[in-house]
Amino acid sequence: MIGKKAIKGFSLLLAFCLLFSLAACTGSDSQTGGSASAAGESEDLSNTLVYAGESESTINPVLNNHDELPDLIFSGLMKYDGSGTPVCDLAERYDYDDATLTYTFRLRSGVKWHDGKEFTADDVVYTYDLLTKDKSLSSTITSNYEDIVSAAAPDKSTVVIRLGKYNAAMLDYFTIGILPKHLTEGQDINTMAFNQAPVGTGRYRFVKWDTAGGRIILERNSAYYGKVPNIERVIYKTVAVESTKATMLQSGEADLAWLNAKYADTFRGKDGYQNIDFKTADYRGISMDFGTKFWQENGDSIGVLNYAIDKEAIVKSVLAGRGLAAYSPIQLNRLGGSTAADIYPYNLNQFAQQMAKLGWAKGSDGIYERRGEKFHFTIQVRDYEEERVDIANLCASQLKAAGVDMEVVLVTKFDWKAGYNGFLSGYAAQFDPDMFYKNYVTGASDNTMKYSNARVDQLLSEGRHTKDESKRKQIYQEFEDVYAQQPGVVLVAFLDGCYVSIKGLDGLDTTRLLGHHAVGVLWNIEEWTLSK
Amino acid sequence: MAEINDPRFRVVGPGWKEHQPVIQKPTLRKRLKGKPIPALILLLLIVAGCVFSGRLANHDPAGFYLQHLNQAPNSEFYFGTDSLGRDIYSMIWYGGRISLSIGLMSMAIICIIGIPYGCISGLANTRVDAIMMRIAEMASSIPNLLTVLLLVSVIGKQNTFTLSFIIGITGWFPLARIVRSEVRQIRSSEYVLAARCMGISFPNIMTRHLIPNFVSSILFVVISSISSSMSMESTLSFLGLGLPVDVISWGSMLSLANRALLLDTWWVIIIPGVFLLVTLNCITSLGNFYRKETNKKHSNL
Repeated sequence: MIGKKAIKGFSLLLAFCLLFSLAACTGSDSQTGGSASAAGESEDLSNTLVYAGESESTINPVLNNHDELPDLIFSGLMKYDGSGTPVCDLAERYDYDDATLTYTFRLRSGVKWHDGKEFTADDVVYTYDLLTKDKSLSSTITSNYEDIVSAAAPDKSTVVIRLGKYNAAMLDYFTIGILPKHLTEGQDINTMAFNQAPVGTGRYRFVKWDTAGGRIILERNSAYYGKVPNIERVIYKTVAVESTKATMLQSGEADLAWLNAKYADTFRGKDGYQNIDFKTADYRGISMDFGTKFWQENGDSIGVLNYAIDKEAIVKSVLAGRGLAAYSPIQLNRLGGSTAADIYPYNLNQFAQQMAKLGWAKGSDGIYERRGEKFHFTIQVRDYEEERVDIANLCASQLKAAGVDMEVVLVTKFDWKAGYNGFLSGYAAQFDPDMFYKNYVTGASDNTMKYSNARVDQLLSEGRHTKDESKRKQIYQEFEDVYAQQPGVVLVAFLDGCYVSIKGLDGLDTTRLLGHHAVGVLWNIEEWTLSK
Repeated sequence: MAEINDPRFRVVGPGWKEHQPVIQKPTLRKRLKGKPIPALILLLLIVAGCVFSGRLANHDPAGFYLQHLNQAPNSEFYFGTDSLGRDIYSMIWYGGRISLSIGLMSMAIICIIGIPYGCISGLANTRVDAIMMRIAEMASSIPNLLTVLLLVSVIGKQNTFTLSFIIGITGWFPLARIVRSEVRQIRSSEYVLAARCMGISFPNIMTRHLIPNFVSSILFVVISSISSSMSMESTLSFLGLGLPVDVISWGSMLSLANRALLLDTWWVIIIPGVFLLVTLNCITSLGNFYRKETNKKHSNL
């Protein structure tokens, strides 16, 4: 009897052992498998740049125009140089005929897609047709290409693009990455699988998207037509949370990351790290959604909020002084910066006066009311963007003190259908001020907040279609003045682009003014060197 | 010899003295022995501090003192300030209010659901009892945090009440089980039978006859549910799923810990952590005391 029991117990024990050893096996299997594959991909990590970047869902120049990766994998007819001027890239040279408003591009010969196929003028025509004619495309940048009437390829290495009107920023927009026709034609651009396995003509080619590990692996394109990068491999880690990026730098899991000013400051003077501070044209502001009833009724009371926000104090605290109080969306642009647009000093008395003028009166709870409605609105902020959460909270507390109830709602993903009255936004026009045409013109492709002002529409259109630089400057400065009178965004601050890298990374060039989320840091990556 | 048998007399030896046991009044020290006095005092101090937070706080707990960022504890900001210049000292007292009230409210909800459920199950026939208990057991076998997270995501925006409700509604199972086993023991007692025969309503039986008899044995569970609810709130707020940012609680203060670690501001983590830890420990030792007390009584039987 006892023997039987013992056998039973023993077999049970064995079974358990087996189960655990199996579990351990699978565990160690996946571990060794993982490390083996990692080793396979990077036998020598010494020439691999690990970049902790933003989270990504697609890599497609047409869909994500302000992300870092499309610029590495794809290339366009033109590219920006260090000063932000468009220069030839896939085009060998171009001619512009003013009489017929026609650009004629002569393409480089011998350019190959990463899959080995030949790059031809058909690909270019295909991409521009997509941007100008495809109605199913939902992209924020289509407004940039409105003026293109036709794109044609008379032969394999010539592209002729005809405009309907002169467009001052057209060369800028010719920087957009060209999509391979043979891989994407006939597919739904917004959802195709190509977006997760892109093939381009750029400096780096896509190798693998390790979604579980949150990393995108790129390898240098040794058949690149320009200078082949020194750094062999780029591992782009998709990290959204700012504190995680800082921790990854600390633990050596990343070599380069864009951090918020406060975290970047903790690396200053630290052994083994270097801080690379860029200027950016990236502003943070409270964007009001004119699609909601509250702002349709109270759109006249947005500008006045500027009086109640101490922007200097926010720059000093949240941005640790690494930024600039904002008064105009194109304040840092070569054509912007009209000081006449800086009409809202931080002044609570003026705020109270203006509010009275607009017909608001404080209720018993200290919050302004008008026509029986409280001055209460909601803005959404993504919870992992600490710097935005902090800016929103400070603005909310300052507005509350002035009598305006701005409710900050933290979300993990922007919800455009929930009826929030706005969001804490960030945009940048780091190149031509016309980059904001798509944001501020009525019905334009990136005007998601449905801002509309006839005079702004007129000025931005004029600015786009004017050739003379000094005249354009006048127009854009007038735009700044007009916009300041009736803004859709309560601008708060411009951010510096604080990058932190390990000591051995050289070649980063801070002459470039960076864009939204300090994008563009990799613009001269082919020159970088890495020694770990 | 009749006199000898007189019960008023008894035979005693020489030098006999009547023994009068001295009934000693137990000294204060003796009476307090074994009682969790330090815990009680500490807890009272913290609770009082939170109740009178308006008096104690020397700054606006929701205010951003932008001239005083990341200051270590000093004479103006007793517990220092965080990266946006909020005063930790004032936040502690206001935050404690929320944390404690979430603890108490969750406890109330746990009692409101758990006790009647246990009583019904205990008084019911075997089949109903088995079904009710299996339901409770199945529900409690799902990890608590998981159900809480599920409810949090369903409800969406939280406030003190909804959060207490969520914590309460997922935490009553152990209480129901204990109540049920206590009721099982006393359900056949004469007074319960008599009450039921007389047709007294269930709520009356429960409040008059059942609860007074098992209250001491469930006290431990009830008290420790306060502390477990408080730590659940901290966990949720730490994960960013609890109260909104503008509601200060010890948990939401702890959610700044990650940032504080990077910025080397130890006081932002340590101080709310210590307060939470001390409070939870005090509550637990109070609960423990009651558990020991009831166990003693049982052993006397």
